[in-house]
Amino acid sequence: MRAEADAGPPCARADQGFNLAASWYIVLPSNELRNNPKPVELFGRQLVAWRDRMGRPALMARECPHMGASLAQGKVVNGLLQCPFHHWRFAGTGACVEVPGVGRIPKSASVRSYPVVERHGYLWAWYGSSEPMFPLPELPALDTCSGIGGFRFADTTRATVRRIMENTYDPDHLVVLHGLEVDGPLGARILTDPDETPDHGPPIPAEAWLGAELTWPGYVGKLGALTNVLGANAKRFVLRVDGWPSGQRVLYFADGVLQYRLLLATTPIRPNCTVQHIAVAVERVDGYWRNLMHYLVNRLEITFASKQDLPIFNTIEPGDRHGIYLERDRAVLRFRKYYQSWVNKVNDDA
Amino acid sequence: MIERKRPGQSVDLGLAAGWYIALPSPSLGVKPRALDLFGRQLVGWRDGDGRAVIMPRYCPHLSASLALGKVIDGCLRCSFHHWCFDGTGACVEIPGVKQIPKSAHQKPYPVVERYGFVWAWYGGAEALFPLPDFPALESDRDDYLGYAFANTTPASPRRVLENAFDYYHFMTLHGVRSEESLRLTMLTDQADAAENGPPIAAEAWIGALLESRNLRLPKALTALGVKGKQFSLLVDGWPGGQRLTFYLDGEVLAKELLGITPVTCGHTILQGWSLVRRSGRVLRDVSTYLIYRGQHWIGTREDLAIYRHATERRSGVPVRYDQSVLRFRQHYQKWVERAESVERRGAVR
Repeated sequence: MRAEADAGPPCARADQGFNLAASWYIVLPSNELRNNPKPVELFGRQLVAWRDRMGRPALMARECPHMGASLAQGKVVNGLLQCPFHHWRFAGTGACVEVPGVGRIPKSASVRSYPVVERHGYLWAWYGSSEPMFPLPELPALDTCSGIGGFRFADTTRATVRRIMENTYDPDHLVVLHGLEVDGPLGARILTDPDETPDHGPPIPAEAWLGAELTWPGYVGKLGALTNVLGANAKRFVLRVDGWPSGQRVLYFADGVLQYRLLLATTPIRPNCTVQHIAVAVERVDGYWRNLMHYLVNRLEITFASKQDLPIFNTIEPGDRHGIYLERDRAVLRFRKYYQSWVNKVNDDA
Repeated sequence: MIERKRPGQSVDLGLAAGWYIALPSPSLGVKPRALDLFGRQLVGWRDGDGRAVIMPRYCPHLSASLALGKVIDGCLRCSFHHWCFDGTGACVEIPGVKQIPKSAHQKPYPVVERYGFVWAWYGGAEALFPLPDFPALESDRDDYLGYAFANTTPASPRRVLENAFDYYHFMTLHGVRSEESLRLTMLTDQADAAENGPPIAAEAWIGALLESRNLRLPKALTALGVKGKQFSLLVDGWPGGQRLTFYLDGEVLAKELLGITPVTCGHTILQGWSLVRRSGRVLRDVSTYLIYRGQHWIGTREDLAIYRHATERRSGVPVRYDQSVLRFRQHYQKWVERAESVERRGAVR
């Protein structure tokens, strides 16, 4: 980029800033981080993830403060990450604790580290400040579903975190993009009280919390016929979402009966490059074959719908520009305001 | 070296107002397609009458790419929420909504389809002059054997266009030898450029005549039977393209229409037509065509190699023989400023 400094005709830089909310994000699935340190690109930064002897994870800047070598090339020795170049050793806090042959360790010899938590089979990191502003929310159902019932997947998209997360607050696109043929209008209501989401999991601190309830009547047309055959049609469907700025717990009800719980979370690699993670716990129903069928139908539907969003995400305008808001885009607009309020909380000196 | 931009970033290219080639006509079919042009993200599609439309790519509603959309009843329908846009860029339908927001309008670019290309106007919502005529590709088409060319370069459009006014490089880079130095005369009267075609809007027009005396042709060419003592090149054009006529001993040898596709910073396509004059004798025409095409190919490669490694400095170190290049740059700059003033006024894109 610097090469353009004295170039003309002017090719002005047009950086789309990184519009990232202070929040918890997925670094990677837990099973992808084993004994060896792993280079990670996250928050537009070059980082390294590693585990100490106890298996406790750490996430910190990849570049050694000494001579700039990549710590991801190093190895873990005595529970410390050792740089391959001059064997400086770092603790999970990012502090340099050993420099071979040197008695006094320079004060500036530490690297930036990020608060991390391991939960639901993912490694999570906090972005936006040195200490998390709220604890990582939970979706306990993900830990209790074993055997038939659970599945997860991830897709890398060219969309921002905000565009991925706001999609749940956009009932209209369900009809148009996902082709829901429904027997009446879709409704979207912003939730006002965390108590309205008791079956989602432990409450999320009110200031970090936003939720909505999307409702629609039974399916008609081809989709109606298909869902009737599969026993998946109903008179009233509810999609209830609550979450934090970069993650959501989504529950899907048919005639008041819970069908599945879904966790939607994101990995912001760099601006306009975000991984969308989905982890699902499908509710059990009685009978082995009925249960299997129920699981497969829901798995198919979730996977299919999520793939339908990808072409939109991969070609959408870079950045998070405002749009034209119709009355029915109220929930999207509400989500954007809430998300931006957490972008404004970012206090990050890295 | 200029860094090529990642797609998706809007860049101000400092372009002159003018007509540019958006894409070859056959490349724009019934399906909408994403176009990177003028450093912007655009979408090209054809309306119900088959007319080409070029407008901003992202839906004003929630920013989905309209290139994913479908043309239905002559309107482009966004795939995300089914907003429909007509050929004027106006949103004409939103499912279930009666009152369409006034701001739901994608400002289209003025477009003309001619010479096998879709041309788009850069610099405001209205073209300031019509796309110039080039009879060799229309009424006089039968007098020529032609081929289309297209080359990609990191050079700016200005560098590509000013090249014809840089007579000295014909000698140093392309190895044109003659007993006297080449001479370049800036034209002041469009009548002197009549061989290229009817007059271009006076304000937009710039032209020059390049002449050699006592040409010394390379042995390779004389061996092929090429004879000629006097070579001249008549070039005229507008800030986004050029018409050229090559003469050998006063006879028209070939013509060229050069158009520019400014994709983004560090990515320009120069494309158009080369046309070799028919004499009526087939064998002679075929050999002239092949020789012309061969030297054009070599000459273009020589220019492209320079472009590839050149830095775009605002002002170089001009010397005596750069007068005409400086003259061209002044003219070009005038149209850059015109584009800037109108683009700023209508900075909604």
